[in-house]
Amino acid sequence: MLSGLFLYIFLTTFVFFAPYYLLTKRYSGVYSFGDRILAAFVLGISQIILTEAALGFALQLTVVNLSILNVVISICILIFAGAGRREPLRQLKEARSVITGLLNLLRGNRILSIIFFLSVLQVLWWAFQAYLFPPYAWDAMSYHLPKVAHILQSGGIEQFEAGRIYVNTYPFNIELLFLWNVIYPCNDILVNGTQVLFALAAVVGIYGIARKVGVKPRNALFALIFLFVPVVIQQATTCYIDLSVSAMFVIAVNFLLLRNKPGINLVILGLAVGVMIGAKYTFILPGLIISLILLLLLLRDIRNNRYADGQRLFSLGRGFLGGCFLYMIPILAVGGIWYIRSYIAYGNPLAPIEVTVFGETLFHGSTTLEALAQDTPTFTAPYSIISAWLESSAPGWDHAYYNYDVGRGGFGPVFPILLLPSLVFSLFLALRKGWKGYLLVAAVFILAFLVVPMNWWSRHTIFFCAFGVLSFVMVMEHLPNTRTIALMAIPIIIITAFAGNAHPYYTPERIGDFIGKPLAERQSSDLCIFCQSSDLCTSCRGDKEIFQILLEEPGATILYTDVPNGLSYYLWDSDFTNTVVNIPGHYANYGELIDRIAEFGDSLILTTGDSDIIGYSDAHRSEFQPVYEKDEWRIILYVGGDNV
Amino acid sequence: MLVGTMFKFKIDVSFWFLTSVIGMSVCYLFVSNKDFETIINEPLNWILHLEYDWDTLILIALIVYWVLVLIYHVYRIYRGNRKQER
Repeated sequence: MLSGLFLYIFLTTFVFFAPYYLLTKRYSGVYSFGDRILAAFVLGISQIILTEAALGFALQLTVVNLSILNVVISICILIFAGAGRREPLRQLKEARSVITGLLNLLRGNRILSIIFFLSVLQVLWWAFQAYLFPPYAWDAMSYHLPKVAHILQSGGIEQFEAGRIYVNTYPFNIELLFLWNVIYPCNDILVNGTQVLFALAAVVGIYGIARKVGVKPRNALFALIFLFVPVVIQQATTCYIDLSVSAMFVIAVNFLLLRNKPGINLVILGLAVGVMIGAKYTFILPGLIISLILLLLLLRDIRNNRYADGQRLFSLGRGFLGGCFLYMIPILAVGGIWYIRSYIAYGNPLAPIEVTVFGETLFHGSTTLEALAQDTPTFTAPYSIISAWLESSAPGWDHAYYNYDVGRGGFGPVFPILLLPSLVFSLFLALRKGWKGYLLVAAVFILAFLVVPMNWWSRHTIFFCAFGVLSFVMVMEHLPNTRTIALMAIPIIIITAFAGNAHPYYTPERIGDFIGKPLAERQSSDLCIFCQSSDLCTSCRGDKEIFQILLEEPGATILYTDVPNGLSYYLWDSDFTNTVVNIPGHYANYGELIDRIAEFGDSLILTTGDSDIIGYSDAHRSEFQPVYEKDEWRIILYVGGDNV
Repeated sequence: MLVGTMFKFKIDVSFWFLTSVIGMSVCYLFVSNKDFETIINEPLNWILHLEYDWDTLILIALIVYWVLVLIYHVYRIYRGNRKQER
């Protein structure tokens, strides 16, 4: 495990350092330090996604192949950048001057230094949580992580026998980053920390946008407030994808604003949008908004040169087409592949969702967006949005309100009390004083917010909170007597951070339990995710018993027809030693059942009382031995003999 | 600016921003669920042997603090204007 961890640290550093070096060496005039960090982040994660996807489709996704491919690509990038004897020293000097500048800013501003100190504490707390707890969040256990486990199990990306269609159809981008954090250490200890990096990248993105619309560094640093938004706090250590997708949106807006648009910037912008739409269906429309605004900006450049001669116009037109090409290819490569894959497999790029435009069904599917919304407003419904922002109620939600990870609150008191007034004031002042840059950003964020389905649900629109933070930064820049405003902001930020960190799953008792438990023995099933409500806790204990029996022996083969609450990730141990396969519950005859399962040899079968397997196993006790029975759940040991 | 005219000095835009923050927090206090269940509630009640909803109390205290900050802000503007006049 230790060697895997060293390889992981080395490769991750290498994959992100190579593009950073390239950008510093060749494009230092185009990008600021923060932009280079963000660009290297986008290029690095795109490289990871593309290499894993390529090896995955070729069914050759192993540690060795992945390492070799990434090392080769990173070396090629370094060679392309060109070696310079003084370059590393220059880069170190630049990093030192940035850190010195930051410390000077903090020294001169006590309120900012409090926020910075709280941010450091928050990140350390996240790191501790990510290390201490195994994955637990609902959708993560249901399809985000089973996808990762199936890829590890089969050594590639194929149509998995997973029981849930989303394991096969939902875009894979962020899950491939989860895979990167799992494949080298050979366990899921690091995977909970993946989204922490995206939260930090979003802060750099907000800072970058603020600088580009003319905010001074000391005010732009208030972007750190984003780290204290409850939905960000609680999602950062889960294997969800909402925070990552919103962070990519913020990063894309940052690169959209660069005045000078060389080819590399269009590639990076395309990659950011590609990663975003290749991670979540609902971000296709925000991706289109960004593309449309980019198109308008490119056309404006041509319009500004309308008096140019024919040759100049020809070259501008060629540049425009080249720009579109440089932007579209990365989107198709990183984002489009999953939709193309779904189209080939199911005849519907958005499978299983039915695609209907103006009443015409373009692609048939087994469900609709309205059905997924579970009788809640699908598109912008002002009352639901305001209720959710003010945290008074949320459509279709009758739990205790504050459940910030997937619960339907999320922005916390800081949003309605501080960020919403900031947003209104900034927009008002921008319109009055003609701040074009900020108005462009506002247009992108507001239009994207309006087109995201179920936008009242904060986890789908985390990026809008980033816009709120940006607006607060604008207020700090342009309003007089901002020291008073900062004095008012600090307590509400601290209270929101407290509320966000009050986690229903991470009680002090559980933290104590997990600290006392050896790392290898920490299983997801130990962290009962229903225990916030005592009446559900009984069933949770029953489920835990099932998973403990199944995971007793490492390396077991587990066949299942159904799994409690559909959370199939519980069937894998944290070292991914067992093999998990979904099998049908109904068979025409005994022979068909044996044909289906014989290839797996000795295995544990998790099924329910109404499946055909129960009847056949009762009649063939020499091959099927009952292990566990409670309520509808049955565990049967299949003795497959020499069939392995 | 009505308040400014009343007291014969000029109110800045920050005043209106701070007022809107206080307005929103009062609105939030009445409209929201505000049962934060933060990590403040349980330990404080446990230490003090009480059953208070500290989150609501904290929000109310916060609003009072903000009103004081706003008054201080107005006072600073007033003092600044007076100095200018002199």
